[in-house]
Amino acid sequence: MKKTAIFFATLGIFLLASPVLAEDTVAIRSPKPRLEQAKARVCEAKKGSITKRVDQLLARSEKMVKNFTDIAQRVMDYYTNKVLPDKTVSNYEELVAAITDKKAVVDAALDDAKSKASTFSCDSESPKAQLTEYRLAMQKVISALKEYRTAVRNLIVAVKSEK
Amino acid sequence: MTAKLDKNGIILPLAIGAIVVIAFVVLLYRDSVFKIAEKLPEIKTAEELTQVLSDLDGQDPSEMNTDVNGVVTDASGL
Repeated sequence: MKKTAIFFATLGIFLLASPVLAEDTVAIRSPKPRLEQAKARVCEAKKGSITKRVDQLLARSEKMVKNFTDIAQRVMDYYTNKVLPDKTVSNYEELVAAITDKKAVVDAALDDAKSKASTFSCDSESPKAQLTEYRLAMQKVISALKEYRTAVRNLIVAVKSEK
Repeated sequence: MTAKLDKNGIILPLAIGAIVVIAFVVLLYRDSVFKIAEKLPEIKTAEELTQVLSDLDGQDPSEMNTDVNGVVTDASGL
């Protein structure tokens, strides 16, 4: 009898001290301040347009990557089919390697930006901070895209000067 | 008119057979068919190469900066 009482007393203390119950208790006792509730409402109202803009920017970046990749491929084909029989670009391999490297940097930056975009939620502690992180990731994408474009441009200029 | 021509009832089975054969061939060689459709336009001359360079210069990633910053500005009330 005494043992059972001790067991239930211990179990009761354990349950009361458990974080899950504690969280509920806090939530019940202290509801979100009005300012936070208002912010959450604003966030929910803006969420659709924000997500749409974020997705559009990612799609635009992906399209730009594809355009640059297609251009690079067409220039490489041109070099192989039209230039190579007569002339060669001395640093052709280096230029192509630079393109490959820069493309990898863009892909990694884009993956990171996608990951940051997917975590956006109005339920998080700071949705604005999440968007700031997304902006920083997108700035890296833009910077990487610029370098990728320069690498493709360098190849075109080199091939063009030989023809 | 068709009924007059098709006295032996042979046109319809032939048409169906032809459609089936064409569908089978497309299915069999679909990879090649789609590859042709996706093939990039070939650069044939130096002038076209210059045009490609011009197209590339026309695509500036920096233009996205305004929109990227706009997303955060839009979220200023959060």
